[in-house]
Amino acid sequence: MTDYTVEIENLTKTYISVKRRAIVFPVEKKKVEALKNVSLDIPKGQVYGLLGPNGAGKTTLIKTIATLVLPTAGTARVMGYDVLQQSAYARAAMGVCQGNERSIYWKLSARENLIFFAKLYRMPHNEAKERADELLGRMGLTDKADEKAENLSHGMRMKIVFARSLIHDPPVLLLDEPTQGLDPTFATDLREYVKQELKNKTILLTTHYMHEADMLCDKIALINKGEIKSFGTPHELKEGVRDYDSLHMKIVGLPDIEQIKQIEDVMSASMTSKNGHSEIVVTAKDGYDLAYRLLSFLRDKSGLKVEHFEVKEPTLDDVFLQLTGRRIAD
Amino acid sequence: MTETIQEPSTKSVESDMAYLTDFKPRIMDWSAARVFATKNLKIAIRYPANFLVWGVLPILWFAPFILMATAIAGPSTSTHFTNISGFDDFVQFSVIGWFVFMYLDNSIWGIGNNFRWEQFSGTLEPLFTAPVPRISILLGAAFSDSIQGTLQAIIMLIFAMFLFGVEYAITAIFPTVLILLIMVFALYGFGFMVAGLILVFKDPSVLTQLIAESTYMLSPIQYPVQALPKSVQAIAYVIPTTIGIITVREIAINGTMSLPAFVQSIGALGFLALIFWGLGMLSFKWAEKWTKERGHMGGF
Amino acid sequence: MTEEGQSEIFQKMWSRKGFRAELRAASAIAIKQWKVELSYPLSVLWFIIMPFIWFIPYLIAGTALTGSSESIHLQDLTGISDWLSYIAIGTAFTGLALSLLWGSGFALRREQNVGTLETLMTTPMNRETLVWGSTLHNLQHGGLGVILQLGASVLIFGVSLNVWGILPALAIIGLSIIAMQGVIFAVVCIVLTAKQGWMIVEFLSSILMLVAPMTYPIAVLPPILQYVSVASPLTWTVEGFRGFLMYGLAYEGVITAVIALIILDVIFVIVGTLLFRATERLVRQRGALSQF
Repeated sequence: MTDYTVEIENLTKTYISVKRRAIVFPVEKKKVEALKNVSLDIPKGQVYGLLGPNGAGKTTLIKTIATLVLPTAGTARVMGYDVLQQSAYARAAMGVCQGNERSIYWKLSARENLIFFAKLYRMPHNEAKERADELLGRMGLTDKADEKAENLSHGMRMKIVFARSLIHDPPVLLLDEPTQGLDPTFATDLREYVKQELKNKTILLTTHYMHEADMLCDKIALINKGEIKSFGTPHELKEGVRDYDSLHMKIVGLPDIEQIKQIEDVMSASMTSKNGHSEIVVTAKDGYDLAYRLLSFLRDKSGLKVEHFEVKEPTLDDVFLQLTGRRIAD
Repeated sequence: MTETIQEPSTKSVESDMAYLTDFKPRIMDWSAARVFATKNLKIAIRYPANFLVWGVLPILWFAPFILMATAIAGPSTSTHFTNISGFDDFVQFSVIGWFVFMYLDNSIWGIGNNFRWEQFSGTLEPLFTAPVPRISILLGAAFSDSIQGTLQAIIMLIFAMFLFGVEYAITAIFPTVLILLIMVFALYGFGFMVAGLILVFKDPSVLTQLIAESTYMLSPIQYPVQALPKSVQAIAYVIPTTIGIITVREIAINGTMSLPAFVQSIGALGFLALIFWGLGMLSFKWAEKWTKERGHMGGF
Repeated sequence: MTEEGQSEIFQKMWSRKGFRAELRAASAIAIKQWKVELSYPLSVLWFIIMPFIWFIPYLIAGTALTGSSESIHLQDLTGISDWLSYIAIGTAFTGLALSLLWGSGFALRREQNVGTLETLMTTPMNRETLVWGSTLHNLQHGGLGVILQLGASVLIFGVSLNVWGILPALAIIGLSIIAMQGVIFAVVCIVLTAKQGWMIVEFLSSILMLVAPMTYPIAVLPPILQYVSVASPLTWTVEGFRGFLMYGLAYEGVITAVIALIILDVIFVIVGTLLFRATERLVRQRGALSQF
C-alpha cells in the first residue's frame, strides 16, 4: 500500500472522431486529445480540486478514474486498486457523483432510489433501508422521502444524487461539478456538508466555481486542454502570481483590447462587454504604476469614461488567466 | 436539394408589422402541412434502404399465418374457408389484406413514431408553439407517411406475389387507386384521433402498439369478416381499411365487381371519411386543450 | 480491504462478494424495473391484453380455415389433431420471448436515454449483471404473460394441459433462458454500437419468430429456413414446452429437445458474453456511455 489513496499515472486519452462524408469513402478522422499525460497523487483524507473551463478534460479525467472511460495510455489506482485491472474493486472503493440530476430514476421516490443503489452495493434490504433513511435525514429530505423524484425540485434531486454517491460510505469520492446549476442556498448546504461531514474522505472535485475550489480544496490542479498547468494549495497558486497585480475596470464604451496589450508593462489583458459597457482585467507587475498610464490611455487617447477602478488581490481565475491566457468561466 | 433561407433581419420593421396585422389564425394551414411533409420526405429519401426494409419486414410478420394455414388446412385452400369467404385461395386472399392494411398500420405507427421522435429530440414543444394549427403539422406528417407507405406497400405486394406465386387482375389498378385515395383520406381523420389519445396518455409506444394490434385483430386480413363473432363484425366495419380491403380484394381477385356495389363502397368510405375527420379534429382539439390545462406536454 | 479505519458500512460492503451479491443486485434491478413500469398505467393494460391480442388472430384464422377443432393435416405432420391446443401452447411462449428480446435487449439503451447508465456502471457489480437483472425482470414479466395466456386458453377456449408436464415445461424454460441470454447479449451489442440498431433487431427477432414452431411445425418451412430453425434455441424451447404440456411425462421428443438446448446454451451464452465484453470495452474506449 502506498501513501496515496488515489494515484493517477500518466493518463492520456485520445478520441478519434470519424466523420463520414460519403457512404463509403472518404472518411475524415479527427484526433482530440482530452488528456495529455496527467499525473496526480492524492494522500488520504485530502480534498483535491480540478479547476478549469468547460472542455478542459476534467470530466474525462473523473470518468476515467470512475472506470467509465478507458484511457489510451497510463492508469490510475484507487486505494491501491488499478482501475483497469481491478476495476470492480476500484468501483467498490469509491463513490461517484456526477452533477447530473438525470442520474437517478425520476419515476422512483427518493428512498426507493437510494435503496435500489444500496443493493447494487451489496446491501441486504433492511440495511439498505436504514442507510437510505439515515442519508435522507442528513440531507434534510426526510419529509420528501416518499415523493417521486420527478415531483421534487432540482436542488432536492441533486441532494439525492449526492446522497447516492455516499450510500456505501466510501473512503474515496469523485465529485464532478456537484453544485452546478444549484441555487445558492442548496450549493452552500452541499459545500458545508463536504467541509464538515466528509473530513476523513479522500475527495477529487471538479468545479468551475473559483470560490468553491478555494473554500473546499487542500490542493488544486489547474487544468487546461487536457494538461495540468499548475498545482498547489490555493495560497501557493495565488502567491505564484503575487508579484503581479490585477486591475479591474468598468468602462462605458469599447476600448481596443489589442492596443491595451501593447501598453508597456501589461502582461495580459482580457475584456468582456455588454450593451456598450465593458469590463477589462489587466495584469501587471506594479498595478498602481500601470493604473495611471492605463487611465490616461483610456480617457485621453480613447475618450472613454471609466466608471469603476480597482486593483485586486489575485484570484484563482487570475492565476489561470496568467497561465493559459484564458478565463475559467470562458 | 438546396433551399435558400431568407434572413428575417433583412425585413424592415414596417413589413414585420404588416405581417403581424395580416396574420390571422386559420383552422387549417395547407402550406404548413406541405412544408412539413416535404421536410419529412427529404429526410426519408436520405435513407433509401428503409423503404426496402419496411417493404420486406411485413412479409416476415404475415408469413406465419400462411405457414399456419398450410399446416392445419393443407396448401392454399380449404372447403370451409371457401364456404365462408367465397374465395378459393387463402394466400391470394391474405396478400391483398396485408397490402391494404399496411396503410392503416403505417398511419398509426407514423403518428406514434413522429410524436416519440419529436419528444425525444425535445422539438415537440417548440413545434407546437409555431403559429400554425397543430393539426396542419399532423396532416403534413400523415401526408408524407402515406407517400412512403404507398411505396412500401407496393414493394411488399410485388415481393409477396413473387414469393408466394399469386397473381391479380390488372384491370383492378384504376378502381383500387380510387378506393385507396378515399380510404387514405379517412385514415387521416383516424390518425388525428390517435394523435389526440397519445397527447392525453403520453405513452406513444404502448398506445400505438395497442391500437395497431387491436385493429389488426378486427380487420379481415387473413380471414373474412364473417369469421368474427356477429357483435364484433359491426366494429370491424368502422375501421376505415375494412371496406377498402373487401372491395379491393373483390376487384383484384375476380377482376370485376358490380357497379352498384362499387358505388356503394365508395359512398360508405366517403361517409366514414367525413365522420372520422369531424371526430378526429374534435378529439385532437380537445386533447390539446386537456394537455395545455395541465401543462404537461414536454415531460413524458 | 487492507486498511484500517474504514466505516462499518463500508467494511461490511467490502466483505460481501460473489454470486449472492450479484444476485442481490440483479433482483434489485428487476424490482426497480417493475416500479418504473407500473408508473405507466397504459403499459399495465398492455401487459394484460397482449397475450390475447397475439393469440386471437390465429384462433380466428384457424377457425375460418378448418371450421372445427380438428385438423387432419396437422395430425399428419405432427401427430396432433387438436390445432387449437397446438397453437395456444405454442404461442404462449411468444410474449416471454418478445419481452426478453426487446425488454432486456434494450434495457441498457433505456438507461442511457434516461441518464442512469453511467451511474449503474460505477457500482461494483459485474457489468453483465446489469443485463442479467433485466432478464430476471422480463422473465417475471413475460412469465406472468405465459400463465395469463395459458390460463385463458384453458378457461375460455377449452384447451387441456397435462398437469404432470408443468414442472418439466418450467425446466425447459430454465434451459432456454441461458441460450436466450446469449441472444440478448448480442442484441445489446447491436443496440449500443449500431445506428438505428433497433431496425436490425426487428429483423432478427422477426426471423426468430418466423422459424419458431409456434403455430406450425418446422416441416412446412422452406428447407433453408428449416436449417436456421434447428439452430435457434426458441425452436427447441417451444417444442419441448408444448410437448410436456400436451403429453406430460410421456413426451417422446424430450431427449432431442433437452440435448439440443444444452448444446445451444453453451454456444450462445459463451459467444454472447464475449461479444458483450468486447462491446462494453469498445463503448468505454469511445467514451460513449452517456451518448448515442
